Amino acid sequence: MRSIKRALLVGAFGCHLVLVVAGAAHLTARVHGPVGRELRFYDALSGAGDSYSFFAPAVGPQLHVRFTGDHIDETLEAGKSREVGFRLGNVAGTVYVASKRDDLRRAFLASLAARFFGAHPDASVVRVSIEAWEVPTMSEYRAGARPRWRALHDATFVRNVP
Amino acid sequence: MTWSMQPLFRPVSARPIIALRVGLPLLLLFHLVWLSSDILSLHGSRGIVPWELTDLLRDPRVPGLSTLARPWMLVGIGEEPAIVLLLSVYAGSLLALALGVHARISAFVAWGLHLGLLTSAFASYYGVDQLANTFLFYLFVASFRRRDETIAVGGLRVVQAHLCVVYLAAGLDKARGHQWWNGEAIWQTVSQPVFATFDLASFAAHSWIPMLLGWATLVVEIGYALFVWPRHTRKVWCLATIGLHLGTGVLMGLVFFSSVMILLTSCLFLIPETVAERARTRPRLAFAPVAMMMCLPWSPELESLVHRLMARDHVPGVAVGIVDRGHLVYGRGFGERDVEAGLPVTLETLFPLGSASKAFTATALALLADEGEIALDAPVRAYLPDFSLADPTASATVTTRDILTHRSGLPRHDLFWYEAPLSRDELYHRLRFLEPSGPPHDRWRYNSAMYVVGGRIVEHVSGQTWESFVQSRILGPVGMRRTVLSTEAMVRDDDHATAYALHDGDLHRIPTFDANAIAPAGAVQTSVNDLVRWLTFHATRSPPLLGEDMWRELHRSQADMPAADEPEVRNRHYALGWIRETYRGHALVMHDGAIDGFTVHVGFLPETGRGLVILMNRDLATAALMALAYSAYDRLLGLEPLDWEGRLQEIPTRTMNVAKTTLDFPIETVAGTYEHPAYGEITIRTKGDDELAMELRTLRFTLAYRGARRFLSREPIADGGPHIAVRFANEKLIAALNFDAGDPVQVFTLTAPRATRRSRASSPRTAGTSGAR
Repeated sequence: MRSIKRALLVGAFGCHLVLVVAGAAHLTARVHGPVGRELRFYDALSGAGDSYSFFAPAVGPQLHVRFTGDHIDETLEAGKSREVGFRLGNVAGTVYVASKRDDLRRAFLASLAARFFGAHPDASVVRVSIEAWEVPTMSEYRAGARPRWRALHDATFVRNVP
Repeated sequence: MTWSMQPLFRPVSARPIIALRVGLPLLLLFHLVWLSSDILSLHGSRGIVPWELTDLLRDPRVPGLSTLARPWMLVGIGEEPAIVLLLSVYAGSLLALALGVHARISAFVAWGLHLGLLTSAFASYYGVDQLANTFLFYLFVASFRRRDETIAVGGLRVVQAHLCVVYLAAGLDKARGHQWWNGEAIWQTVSQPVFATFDLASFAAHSWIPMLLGWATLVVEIGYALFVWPRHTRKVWCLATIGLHLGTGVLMGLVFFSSVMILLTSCLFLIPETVAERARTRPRLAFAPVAMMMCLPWSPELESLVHRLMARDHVPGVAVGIVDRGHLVYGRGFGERDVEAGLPVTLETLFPLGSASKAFTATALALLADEGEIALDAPVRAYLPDFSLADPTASATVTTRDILTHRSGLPRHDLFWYEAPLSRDELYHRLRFLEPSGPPHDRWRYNSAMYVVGGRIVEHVSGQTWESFVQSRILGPVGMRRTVLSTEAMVRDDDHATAYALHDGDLHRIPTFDANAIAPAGAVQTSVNDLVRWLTFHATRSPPLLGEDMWRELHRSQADMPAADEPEVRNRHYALGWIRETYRGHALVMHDGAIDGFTVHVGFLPETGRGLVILMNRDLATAALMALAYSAYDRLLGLEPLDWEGRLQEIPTRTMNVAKTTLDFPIETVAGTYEHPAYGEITIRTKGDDELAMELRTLRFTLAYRGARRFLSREPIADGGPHIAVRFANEKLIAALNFDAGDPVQVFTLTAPRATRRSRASSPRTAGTSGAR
């Protein structure tokens, strides 16, 4: 009985490790249909199918959310701790990705606008911008180029006063 | 060859996982506190990305914070209080996990809530949150209780392998991009406002710096999976990895991420996983005041006794060690390990343990039993289908416990294996030809050969040789670094004892006995310093190789033994490879060993955790050994010392003066070569006009006639042993080669009349004995 239990344990851990390797090799994401759904469910629970492309293959630009309007110019992460700021930068990235989808764009950007209006009751209009910090290459920098924020996407919202 | 799962379940120290169990929750707790002022911005329906949106993008089967908060909201608790409540439970479970309180339940709750947070706040999460989820999952799955000190190595390897995959994948993914080769990745990173701790614009003018940093990152991450495993590169690679993350923490401000990564590498690869590494320190004379007070008052008496016994019984060398709960509180070598070369005995001098080796095979089998690979009470045939004894009932029913407690029904049969030119395999297959003395399971009858069966079970179940198993599973973890498992290996060592025997009052150097064929019963060769570790394990279960129950089973009285000659010794029982007795009212677990040229004692007092090692390089120096051992135990127990020196004296072995009986048959008619299927050949020659010379391998006996074709050997089988009775009838030689009167005789059949073969031995020898005193 104990041998059967051990055989099952070895089998389970073996399968788990296979999924770990498959996830890290970006193979799990290629599996679709019911099997893919189950794999992703197990991945979400155990982390077995995660990929680990931290800062890879290239380091992307830092993103942030900028609010402008009614003489206000601020960013989402301003004044937060560095850890929170980093996380809010990730939120900006998520909103940017969502902004490319017709079904999600408005909802995500509107939620940010709503947050702005909540913080500024007197404001009647806001432009929500997703901006990227563009860093020139080292050779461009030596030639005089300097980093700057560049708008990737923006949308203007007007408070709907009933 | 069958594949065994057993190596995957080998116990290793749980300290790496325990450290992870403490460290990871504490870091997550610290992180939670750090984010607390903004936590509601990241979570909740009024967060920056509200639940309504995150729920659109997540797998509905994976519980999010909204799923977990909903039941509370249904009973009237508001959304924010519900979130605060869940976060409080999360914090509590992390704290409980770190403290090891209901670790598995705490890990489950912490993992579940972390997953909920991760799912609901996926927009803001990054790699470290993913990794925390993964390793919380492992902490939940890792099946260990708070008091457990070991886990299965396979479990630890899975967690370690996952970390290697993380680094390898991260490194390979980076290597696919140009930025990590030309330094742009480092430049881009340190130039971003969120990561810019220092002004590193100067990197642009010195692009080789970020380029080297990029290469170093690739080397460390890709090499991690390869170099973190070998012992000689592990520490360097771990330190390089920690350096990488320290750099990330300092230069990029990713303190939480860096802390988690440093924790993972430190716990999983830097904390010793084997109990051996814990026991690697050499035993030292304890400087603890209590220990010194315990040993100092009487050690001069003991040393004086050793010198007197050595002189009295012509013992060339003695090594003595006294251990007290893991500390060598007294250790000293006396005399010479090699008289001719004038080399001294040291605490590192290797001596053969003889039968004191049996405890190693018993421990090996106990390890397998503890892991569920064998059952001590299952028939041997369950593991060795070809196991066969002369008695069919015994063949089918003898258990592993029977062979370890000498209850197979076979008597000693020492001359069956002593100097027999047989391999261990041949010896095993000849067991079926040995005559039993009684039924199996009945009573204790000492038989070393059955430990060969024990060793064979170890080999068949583990898939390793007996030597490999004992080395990797016992000697390594216990830290017995000098111990070897063959005579050949011992004599190759510069510091090994030479064998001596006493013949007619003179000390002679004799060949070292090759115990390879019977290794599981008597081939451990070790030193005082290593035996200190061995006794520490048996006296205190440190290191915890075995569960407590199985460890106690090794030393529990299991088979009644005949009463000792000394009235102070009572309740003698055989345990598993050990003898348990009561000495002057105190439990004593011990085993002696006696093999050609060596006499040893290894024992401990379970009540106090103190133990004693005595190693002598003289054949059958039993009187000196016991006098010294009991004198030491008197002092270790704080009892009035008895006069063991006076009571235990050697009786010189002399050739017996057997009265001659007039021959009444032509003696030359029985000369010839006789054969026994197990014992092999005995050669009989005439010696003078009225005696016979009997040769069994290197053993030679003179047989004096006793009438009716019966003879009696002038020499005993061994010192203190009986003389051999031999009878000739119908071309058979019937000999009583065992030690007890009730034991069966061996019937040898004439194969070559008028012996023409000669023994290969050049000098007459009597048999040594390997046994329990």
